Amino acid sequence: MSTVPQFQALLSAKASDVRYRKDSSLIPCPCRTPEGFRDPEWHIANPTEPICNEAGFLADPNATVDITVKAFMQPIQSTRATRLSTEQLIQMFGDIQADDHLGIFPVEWAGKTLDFYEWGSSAEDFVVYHGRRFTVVNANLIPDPDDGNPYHHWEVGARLISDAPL
Amino acid sequence: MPTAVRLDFVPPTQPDIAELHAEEGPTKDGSFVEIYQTTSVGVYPNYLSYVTVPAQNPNDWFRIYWVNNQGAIGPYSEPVQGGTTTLVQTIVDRVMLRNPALNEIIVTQTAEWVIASTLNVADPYDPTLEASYAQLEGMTLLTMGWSMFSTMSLGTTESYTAGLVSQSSGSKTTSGIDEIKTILETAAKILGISYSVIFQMRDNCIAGGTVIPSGIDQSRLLVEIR
Repeated sequence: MSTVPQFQALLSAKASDVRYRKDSSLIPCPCRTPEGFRDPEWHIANPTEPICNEAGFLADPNATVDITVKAFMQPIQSTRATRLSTEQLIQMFGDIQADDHLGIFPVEWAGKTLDFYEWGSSAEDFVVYHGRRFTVVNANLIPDPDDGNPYHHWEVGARLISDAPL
Repeated sequence: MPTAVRLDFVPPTQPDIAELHAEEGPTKDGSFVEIYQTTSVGVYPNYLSYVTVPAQNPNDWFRIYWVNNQGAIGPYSEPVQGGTTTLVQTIVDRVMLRNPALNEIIVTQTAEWVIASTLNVADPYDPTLEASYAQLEGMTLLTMGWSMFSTMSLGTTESYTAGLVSQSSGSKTTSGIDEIKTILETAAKILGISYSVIFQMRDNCIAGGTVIPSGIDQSRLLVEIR
């Protein structure tokens, strides 16, 4: 029997509110160069055109998930988190930095699916916890030990990118 | 002229109940005649828990039985005398007041055993049974503790470890077991049934004398009762 409902109940009862935002837009902006880079000068020359993200894609409301979920966010330097093995920490963060957090997230919440793979490296994708914005530097999708369902929960390494939500 | 008498009982657990019949008799073991029947028994699992019946004599004895939708007749209830409350019902009411989450059928069965064993009687429904306030409280706690134990044994404990998440939940919690132990110990103290006895075989007799043991010979331990 799946343990996902049990885990979801735990999140609902004990976890923190965390905003999850991921833009999976695949609409290329006309500014993109033949090499695939974003061209800011094109936007200066075309001020009426919509501004793309830092990866050179235009916003796509249908491909953006922006919801508040229940998740555990633990400072990696806290007592409990430092019980993790050194290998786990290195695998997750590389060199640990101040304000790195370990996040435990559901795979589905309120009918939306969370996907930390292919996380945008240009700050268009982020999570907000306690008013601070984090990016994800590593993510592991953990399977359900009871029935082998690959989508039990996410364990992610979160790195601070801003003290402001957005 | 018939007199209205209210009969309280524990609802059945079967899902296909269609009728309820009530009978009246002059004595507990006498001949009973049907005085009431109804098909308005409620809907599973919320069947009737009481009815008001027209009795010839409110101090007569009453019993009920259920019939399912196939016409099969269930067993008769224990006869109860009108105008009285059995000790079983008193204990059940006290337990349900303290822990409404318990299953009333389990509580009733446990109360029967607790009364029979505590007061050393064969019939816990005997209307002449009396209990002191201390016995009432003790039997209430004992019934509640054992009922909680029975209910807990039906529960499940789910525990798993997935990655960094380790979770355990369910009704079989350590705190729940501790709570039941405390209730049972308290009940035992109130009822004065807390005792510990160790039986041992007689000392070895060697050459007409008795050896003096320098320690406890566990090999002679027969049984230990707590």
